Amino acid sequence: MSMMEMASPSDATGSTSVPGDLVLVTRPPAFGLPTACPACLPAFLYLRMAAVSFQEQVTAVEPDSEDLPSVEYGENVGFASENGGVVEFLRREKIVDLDAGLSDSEKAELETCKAMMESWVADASAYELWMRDNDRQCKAVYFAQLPWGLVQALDWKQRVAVMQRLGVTPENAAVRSEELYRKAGNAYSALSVLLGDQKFFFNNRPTSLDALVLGHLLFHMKVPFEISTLKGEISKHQNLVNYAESWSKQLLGEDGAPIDAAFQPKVPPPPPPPARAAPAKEKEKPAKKPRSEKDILFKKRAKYFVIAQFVAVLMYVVFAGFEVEGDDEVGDDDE
Amino acid sequence: MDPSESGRDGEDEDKLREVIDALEEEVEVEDRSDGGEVEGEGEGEGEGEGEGEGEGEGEDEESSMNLIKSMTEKLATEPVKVRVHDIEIKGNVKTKDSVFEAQLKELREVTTMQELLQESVRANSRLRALGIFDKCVITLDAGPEELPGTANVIVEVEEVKRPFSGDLGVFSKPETKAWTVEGTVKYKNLVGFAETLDATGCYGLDSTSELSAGVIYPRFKGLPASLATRLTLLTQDWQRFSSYRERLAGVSVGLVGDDQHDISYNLTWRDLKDPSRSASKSVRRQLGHSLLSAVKYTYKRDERDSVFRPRRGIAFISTTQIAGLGPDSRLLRFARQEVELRLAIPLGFANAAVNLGVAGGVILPWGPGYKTKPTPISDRFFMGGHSSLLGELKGPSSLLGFRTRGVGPNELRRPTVAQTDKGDGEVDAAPKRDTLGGDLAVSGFADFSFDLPLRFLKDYGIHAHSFICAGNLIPLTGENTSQWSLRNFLSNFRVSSGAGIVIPTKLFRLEVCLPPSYQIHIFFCYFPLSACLNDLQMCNIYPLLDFLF
Repeated sequence: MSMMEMASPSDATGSTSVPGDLVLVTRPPAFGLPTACPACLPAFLYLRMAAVSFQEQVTAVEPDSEDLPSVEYGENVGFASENGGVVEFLRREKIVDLDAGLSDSEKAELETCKAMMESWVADASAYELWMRDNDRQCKAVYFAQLPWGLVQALDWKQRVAVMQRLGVTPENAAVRSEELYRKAGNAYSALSVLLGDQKFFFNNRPTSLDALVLGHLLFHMKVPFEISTLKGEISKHQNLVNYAESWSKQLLGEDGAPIDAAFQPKVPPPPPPPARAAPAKEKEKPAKKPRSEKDILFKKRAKYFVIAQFVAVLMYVVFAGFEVEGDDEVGDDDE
Repeated sequence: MDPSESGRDGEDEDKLREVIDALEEEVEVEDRSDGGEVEGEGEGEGEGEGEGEGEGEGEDEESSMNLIKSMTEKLATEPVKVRVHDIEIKGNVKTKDSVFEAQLKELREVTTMQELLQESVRANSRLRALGIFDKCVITLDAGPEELPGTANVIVEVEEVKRPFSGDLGVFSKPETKAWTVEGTVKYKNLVGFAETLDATGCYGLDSTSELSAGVIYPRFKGLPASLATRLTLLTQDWQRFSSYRERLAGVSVGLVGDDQHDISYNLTWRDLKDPSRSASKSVRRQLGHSLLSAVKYTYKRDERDSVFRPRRGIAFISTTQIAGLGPDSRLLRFARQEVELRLAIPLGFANAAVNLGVAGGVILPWGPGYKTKPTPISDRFFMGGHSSLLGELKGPSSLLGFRTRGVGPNELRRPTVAQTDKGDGEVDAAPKRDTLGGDLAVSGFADFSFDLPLRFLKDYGIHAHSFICAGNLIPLTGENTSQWSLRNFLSNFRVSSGAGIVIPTKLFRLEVCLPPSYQIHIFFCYFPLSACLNDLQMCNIYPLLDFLF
């Protein structure tokens, strides 16, 4: 299931790359969102905001993987679980960097808000998603395409892991949840103040914080949880609601409205050629292969190994004695 | 397997003759005034003895001797009609009668005395093979007087006092150069159905580990097959070859036939992960969870005279597996067929023999869109490795001269950021590759083995062999598969050949071969005759150890 995001035909970048060099691997879509997974949605929105053309690759069988979302660029891959995730990978590969033009103080604010999102808000979001009452929606997000027995087993396993990580037990659930929601509420207030009336958080340009906040807001506004405390908290801040709704229309092209012209995807630069040895070298004629140190060592070790085995066999034969395989030939003495 | 169960006519007649001779001897030695039953211990050679319709009371010794002599002559020359009237079991405390009924089923169907003797011997060995009796004696007695031409069978057993047994061993798998420690605990006859409960734990130094527990019911419900149920938790590490580790949790239920047929159902939860994050794209697409619900049927016939140095005979195995059984369309769905045929032809001189073998396998997904769906990597065919050409039939999986999983399509792994100083050869700097396996595999070999002329070597069974083997592996479905063509397939065949010395011992079989640069004249080298450009580096030298146990 991969969707091609083609640039408009009058793309004037003049690049010679093949569209689809950039592939975003996410979990499956649901509830009207291009990807229903709360970790993958910000990455998707980031690429949309950056107006970069990419292919979507859906993987429905890795609900517990920490490596998703991941981005493939030629032979290189950036996983969510390493080195700053997808955003850092895109910056390192020089594909796109939305945070490039920020001043130092803005960067400081950006990092603070991101830390707040990734701790308080993320914890509250995980708690709400993995609550037993919201079981049905959780299964639709993570396990929609897994066979029946696995759904139950993985759902239980992941729920236990999440609740353990959050420190929630049946006894302290009420207290702990209240604490999580309170912190999330504080975070929303702070973001609302920071956003104010602007289109974006910083400089009227989208940044990674916008992708992160938008991803979270859209997730909780669109997924119909049974118990959606966070949605209630979000709706207390009208500017956040407006922000989310207007950008969802522009970036995701809902209600039939086309994607805003400013965000029409453009094809990324071609990836570097993979660093591989020339094919000629792969022709394995042992006699012609240059003798590297490693090979010599290997052969030496192999020789000793064989000699040692032979000695072991001989010792066994001499000291332990063994039965002859096959018919016994009665050794007649020559007479 | 008890050799007496071979069922060839010539052997049966010999055994019968033995029995009758023994009977005659017994009769001559024993005190005739008893005139009673003759008991015998049923052993593999078949000394089960029976008694004719003895009416020994009141007759003098001469006429009873004559009677018995004429009986035994009659037994030797013509079939004596008899049928089994009743089977009596004595001495079983825990073991249920149904167990005996199942093992002695064939006795009820005999029609002649000769058959009765043969089947008694076989039944005795089957009962002993259950491993739950310390002593097992089958006695044949005359049936009730009002029913002439009948016999009673009396089975006396003594159950084992200690049903527990355990094993601990260290094994080596030459294919993956891994060592494993394996321990098993068995408990026999817990409930009385002659079942064996066992728990096995296995830990490998390449961090492969397995925990399994199972129950085997021999001759389940009277069928000539055992019911085997097994629960398994297994972690297997293929990181070095294909950049993934798989964790399997499954249950399997099967009927294991006494000799040829074997059918089982398997439900397994499979999880493929790549903790190193270095897998190639094709392997990345394979990671994740899946559920396998499959039925597997195996038909096996091995009529070779030896498993490790066959000189005569033919062996065949066919394995069919259909996965995706269940109403859920999200189960793994594929059909897999594997076939292998081996032929051993004796040449009549120097114990020489030519062994020929051909093996093939194919796996295809089924269901809508099957042409574009890739097959699951865990079920594909992999070729390469150092297992012996002769020996157990393993399908199209071994190709000497090539690394484990070394043959077939492979793909570049994810390049690592930290590329330190480049090595001396190009090989070090190039990122490693993942082997992907194939959907269609064909392999074959021809092996010529012969004794060496030295008497000393012949006495110890050391012989030489030379061989040529070939194989190929291609993907059929999935992305990046070019159109399959027969010409392409045949032109890409890998071939390797070589020769070596085989030293069989009680514990293991050692085959050694070295490349010519070592200047050791008695050994020859393996040299691959052709290899595909894409194959991984081939191994020039390998000492091959096959452990027998």
